[in-house]
Amino acid sequence: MTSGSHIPAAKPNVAWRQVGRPLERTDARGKATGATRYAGDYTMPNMCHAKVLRATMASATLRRLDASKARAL
Amino acid sequence: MPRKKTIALEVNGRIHHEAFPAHRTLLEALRELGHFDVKSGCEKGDCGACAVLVDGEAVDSCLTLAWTAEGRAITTVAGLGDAQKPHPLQEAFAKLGAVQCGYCTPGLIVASESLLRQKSNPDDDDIRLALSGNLCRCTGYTKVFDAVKEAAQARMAGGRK
Repeated sequence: MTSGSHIPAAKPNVAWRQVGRPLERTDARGKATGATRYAGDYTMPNMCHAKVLRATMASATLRRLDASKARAL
Repeated sequence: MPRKKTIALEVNGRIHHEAFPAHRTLLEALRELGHFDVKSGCEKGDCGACAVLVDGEAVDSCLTLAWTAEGRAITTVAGLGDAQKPHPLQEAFAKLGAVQCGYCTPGLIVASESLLRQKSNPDDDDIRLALSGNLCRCTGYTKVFDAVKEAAQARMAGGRK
């Protein structure tokens, strides 16, 4: 007996309706025509905007952060 | 305060009159005008998601200043076709599984259209070069190439579209 011989071979099953059939993504056309809206395409009333502020010094300890200019926007 | 200048931008055949400062990129301007089919990716010319046709040639709108696009014909992916009347490239991309997350798709289609206008029957090297400025992290490009070739065939069979 060769190894794997007791693994049954996949049989064609006439009841299969999706397996083996290429399907078009339901969202493909919207994306290909530019109609799909992504998260960044939305604006909401009073929406906050975030931006990454990176440290200008390596291994420094953050003692305080003046966010007044950002809050004023 | 940056000085703004009102310019006329022709997008997909429609003229918009809008005031923009000198540093406003075409990408930012188009999205301000509601053209969300133009995607904002890296914003520095690496990814190609923001590509639009300017006088028929693909450019990264993030590297183009809005003021310099005045008087030129801008075409976005939505200007090529829509769900009711898709462009052959849009049809082929959807049909052949070249669209996954889809964020790069508008840029890829615009760059492909720019190629097909110059070369109606491109080979793999032509496509590779033409799409070298467009990053796609989902598809691995194989199906994108299939779609461009299929659209080229459809276009030649149906006459220039």
